[in-house]
Amino acid sequence: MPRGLDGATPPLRYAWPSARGHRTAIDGETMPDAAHGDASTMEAHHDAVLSFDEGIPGFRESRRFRLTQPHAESAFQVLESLDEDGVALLVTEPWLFFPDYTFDLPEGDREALALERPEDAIVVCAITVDGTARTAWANLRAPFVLNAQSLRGRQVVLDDEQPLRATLPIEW
Amino acid sequence: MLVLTRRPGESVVVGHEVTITVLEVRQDQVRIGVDAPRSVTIHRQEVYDQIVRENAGAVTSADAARKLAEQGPGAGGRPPPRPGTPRGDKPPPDQ
Repeated sequence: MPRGLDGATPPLRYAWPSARGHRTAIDGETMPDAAHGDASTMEAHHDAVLSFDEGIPGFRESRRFRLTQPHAESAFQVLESLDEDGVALLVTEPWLFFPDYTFDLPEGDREALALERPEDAIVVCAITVDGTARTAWANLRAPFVLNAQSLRGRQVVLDDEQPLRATLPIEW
Repeated sequence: MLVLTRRPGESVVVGHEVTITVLEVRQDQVRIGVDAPRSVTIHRQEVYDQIVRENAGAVTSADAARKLAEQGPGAGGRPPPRPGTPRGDKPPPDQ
């Protein structure tokens, strides 16, 4: 049976707090409800090499990235390509700003990342800042999903219902 | 670009693992089935292009991104509050 684009994929649902934000992981904080007894710290992975085997859309040569937290108290981090100079993204844990954000990880992405459970994932979204308008938005349609153990990641392209540009509820 | 003529029900094999089948032709629409390993991502071109454009607009230099992360809202001890109530117990919304 051919796999059509219209075909449904079995869901693995990502929602607060089942998926870990990367900040939680980096800082080794526990979730407010302490739901994750196995919440390992990511301190050892801070600055570790993250593998995006297929690159990301538009930057296919960028296979290795690094996630850094320039300011300990900041809500934002930097996802920096180690393969292409001048390629870095400001990112954030989407649930900090959009607590109702929910998506189903397509089965193919789940398989490629070998993710068994949402709590094994690190999820961040790219932020674009319009300094003139003092606004910023998050790309909720294409979150970066990482396996916290293997540090393999993908920029997952979700369906059309997720906003490509979700304005952050803050003034920049 | 390789150009092939196919009839409904006929296929094209790409590499060893991808088969593209023309399922139906109706006026100006063609229905296509793609048989590929699940790890191979398949998107409508316009959807993929949107992500390419958004990434291009979001990408900046590492220095500029660091500066934004350091100076942006939430820095200096004022992170946006985390959601107060865990939502994992909420029934999933209808799709």
